Formats: sequence, C-alpha cells, structure tokens
Amino acid sequence: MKKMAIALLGFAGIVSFSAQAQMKPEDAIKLRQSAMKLIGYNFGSIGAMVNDKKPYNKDEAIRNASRVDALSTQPFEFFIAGTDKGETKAKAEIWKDSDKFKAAAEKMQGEVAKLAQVARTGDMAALKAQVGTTGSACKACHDDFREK
Amino acid sequence: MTSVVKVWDLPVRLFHWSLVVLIVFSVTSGKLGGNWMEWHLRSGYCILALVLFRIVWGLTGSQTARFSDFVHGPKRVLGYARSLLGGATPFHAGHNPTGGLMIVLMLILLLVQTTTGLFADDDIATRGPLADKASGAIVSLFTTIHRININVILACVALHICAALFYLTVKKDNLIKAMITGTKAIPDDHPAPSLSGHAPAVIIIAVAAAFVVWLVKFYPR
Repeated sequence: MKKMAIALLGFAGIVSFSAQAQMKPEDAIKLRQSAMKLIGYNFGSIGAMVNDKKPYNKDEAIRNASRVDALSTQPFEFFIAGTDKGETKAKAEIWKDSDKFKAAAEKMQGEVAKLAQVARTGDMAALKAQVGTTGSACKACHDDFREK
Repeated sequence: MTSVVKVWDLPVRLFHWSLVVLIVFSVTSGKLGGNWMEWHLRSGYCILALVLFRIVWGLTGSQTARFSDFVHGPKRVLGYARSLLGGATPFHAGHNPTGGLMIVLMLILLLVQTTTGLFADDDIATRGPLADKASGAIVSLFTTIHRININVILACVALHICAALFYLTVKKDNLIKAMITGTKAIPDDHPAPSLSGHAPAVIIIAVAAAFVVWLVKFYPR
C-alpha cells in the first residue's frame, strides 16, 4: 500500500513535471508575455496615478499593486528550455547566466511586495518613491536580459 | 593681419550649450529610469523645441547660422578633409564643411530621437505622449529605433568632441572657446559675417516651444 502510494506520488510528480516540459515553446512564450503585460498594465496604472496622469484612487492603487505582487513570479515559470527562439525578445543570457537572471527577478519581486505594502498606507509620496524603485528593478532586468 | 570679430550669434551659442546639457541629462535620466523618466521626457521636449528652432534659424538667421553657409556637396567636404589631413587649415569664419555635415547629421538624428521618443513605450511605466495615437507595431518599432539611435548620436558626439580636440591641439585653433565667446580672429582679407538681431530668434524659439507644448500636452487629449 505504502509502495503504491509512493509510486502514485512519483507518478504525479512526473506528470506535473512533464506538463511544463511538454508545453509547446510558443505557448510558454505567450504565457510569460501575457503575465508581463498584466503586470505592466497594473503597474502602469499606479505610475499614471503618482505622476498625475490620472486621478489617485487608493482602492484602485491597492488593487493594482496587489495584482502586480501576485503576478510577479508568474512569468518566470515559463522561461523553459527551447523558449529562447521564436516570437520573443528574451536574450540567450537568461539561460546562460540563470543565477543573475534569477537574482534580478527576485529583486523585482521584493520591490513589488513593498509596493503592495506602501499602496495600502495611502501615502502618495512614499508610493511614488516605491514606483520609481520598482521601475528601476524592472529596467535593470530588461536592460540585461531583453532585446532592444 | 587678423582682427577679432563676432562670428557666432548668441542664439547659436545658447543652442549649442543647452543641447550639451540636455543630451547629457537625457542620457543619464534614461539610463537611471524609475522616477527620472518624467524628467527624461521633459528634457526630450526641450531638445525637440531646440532642434525645430535651429532648423528655422538655419533658414532665416545670421549668416554663419544658415545651412546655405555651411552645407556643401560631398566633393567640397572631401576636398576640405583632404587638405586638413595634408597639413593645411583652410580658414572658415563659420562652420567648416566637415563641421557643417556634422550639424546636419546631428539635427536629423536628434529629430529622429525626439520624434520616436514621443511614441515610445518602455514597457514599464513610461509612455511617450503620442504612444496612444499610434498602433502597437509603430510604438514597438519607434521604441527600438529610440534605443538604438541614441548610440549613433553618442558616436557622433564622440567624433564631434575628437574633432574639436584635433583642431585645438594639432591645428592650434580653439573652436570651443569661439563657441563660448562667439568671437574668432579672422584674417583681414575675410569679410566679417553679418549677424542677425536676437528678436527673431526669441520669436522662433517661443513658437517652437509652444508647438511642442501643444504636441505633447493638448493634442493627445
């Protein structure tokens, strides 16, 4: 029985692993780009608010920031093998220097977590500062790992 | 015999040195990103207004500011470059033929840079004021051009500085100082260039600035 359970667990592990491994490269590219677009949409909304391009609304800023925070790990699940070619601006360095890429992603994830916290305080000046810091984290990674 | 005369009018000199400051600021703010991007955009608007001013001033301004005074065909430019490297320094009160070529090149590159910037989207939180007016394909293309063209501009800036240092050290001709004071020692057999008054320049820059403000603030609404 125990062996059976282990075998089943192992099988489940293989299935879940192969679900990603078998994903078509073009689908993975689309998924990570879609996640990035949603992050960009929500982050851009906060950016517009703190730069007086649209009226500040605390609830909306909180919603946008929480979404950015929740989505921040999503794109990185789809930088799987074989997705360096095709309709993508991803640079080969993502796979060559994966530690640096991972660190850059984690830096951004840390900043958006702070962004979500700051949004909840309703402090506009602090939010603007954190939007800037977060934007720089996005940019640092784009500069190194994204084609012009 | 030489005499010291004014060759560069104040508008040309102010244009030149404001451009130096604004290009340095634009490159720095663009590299820093984050909240500097708002200032990057404003700096770009100023450069656009200055370039538009310079184009009009090149058609209507002082003798040494006019394109007709310093834009020459390839034969003349190459001939000048050849005599320069051969050790001679043919005198020009205004821009010499190679310098004239650089001005035209730089104005075109800056026009491309500022125009593409108006439509650019950095995919983070900054969009040019006209990005909403164009298709996604145009925005993407212009953003790429904006990112690549700056390297061409910086290469031209480097070449321009090297040329000025070449004149300073090899030709013992301080063009940098002339661009600050506006004066040059010119041979007596050369006529002093005729310079325009400042009033037309003030009007042109005011109109150029108003146009840019309209383009980035009012037109997009």
